[in-house]
Amino acid sequence: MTCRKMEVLIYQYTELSPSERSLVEGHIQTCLSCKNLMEQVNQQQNLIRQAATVPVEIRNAAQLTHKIMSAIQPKPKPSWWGLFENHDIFVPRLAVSVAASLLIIFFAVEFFQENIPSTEYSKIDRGTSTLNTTQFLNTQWKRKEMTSMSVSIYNCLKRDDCAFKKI
Amino acid sequence: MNRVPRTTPEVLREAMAGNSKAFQMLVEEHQAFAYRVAYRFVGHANEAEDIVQEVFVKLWQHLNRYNHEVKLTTWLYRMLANRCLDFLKSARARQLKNQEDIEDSYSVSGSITTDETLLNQELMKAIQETAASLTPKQRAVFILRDLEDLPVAEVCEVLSMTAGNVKSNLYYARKELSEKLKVYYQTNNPISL
Repeated sequence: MTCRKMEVLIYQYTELSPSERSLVEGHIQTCLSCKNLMEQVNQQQNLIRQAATVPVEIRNAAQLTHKIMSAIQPKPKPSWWGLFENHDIFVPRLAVSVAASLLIIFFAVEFFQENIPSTEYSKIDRGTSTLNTTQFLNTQWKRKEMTSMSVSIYNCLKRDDCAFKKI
Repeated sequence: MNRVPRTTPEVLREAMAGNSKAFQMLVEEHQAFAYRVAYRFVGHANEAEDIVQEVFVKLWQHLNRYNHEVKLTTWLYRMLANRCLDFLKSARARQLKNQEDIEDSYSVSGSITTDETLLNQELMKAIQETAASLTPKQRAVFILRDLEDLPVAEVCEVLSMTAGNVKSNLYYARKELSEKLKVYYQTNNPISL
């Protein structure tokens, strides 16, 4: 290894792995200029370590604490309203809740549409491709009757075969 | 050695819950450490105090997001380093650099002042003056690794750098300081490097 590359390792000596350190140790045994540099860097590092022990003192610690405490806003006590203020937590929770509610409503509507027949029409086998004319017309007639019935119960009651009279 | 404060979990929990008394205890415990770091970066007492104040206000605002997996001091180091690096890049820092020398916040604890402590004070001032010529990144790595004595892994965490990047910046910083301190002591004397 060249002295130029060795210089980098000498300045980084405290951060080197054991194998890198032994490489440097081996080199300075044979190279006087690198050995001198190593001594100089060690001396410098010792002086810096020593100088770092000099305390750095605040001019007026109590005043600084007071300035900091005056600058902070007291936090309000947690309330349900606080949920709305903390966007980081509230927004994702709200999004998940809304999505879940919409899914439940969608499946509920689907379920009721499938399982609770509102008219006789729903009894027609939708899977049958051939049209059963009689069944279709009967169904249509009943639908018409039920529709008109729902429009006017009064008119229905005037007829003898009104379903409401039988109740 | 540089003292790194430790907050009890109870005080931290109370402060996180918004208890300002507990937060005051946390401030009293950590402000000396925070000031030391800020002062080492910027070299001016007023600016260092302003930075400490800003960092603690930010800490109060974001304390409820504190992740217990990270040491509180590491989090503070990160906030301080980021704020100091922003300051060093600012026009205000350039203005101060042209105006005056490093202000003196280095002092000797206790009443006994020996030659050795005075020499250390002088040396520290010289280091601070020569470190002012380093790039902000080199200065940050030098302060955290060599003055604050943080392990390389923590320096990487604080500055969001890779280990290789930290070592590379450390090499340039130490080399530059070595050359400048040599010149400094050739002209100002007491210790020969």
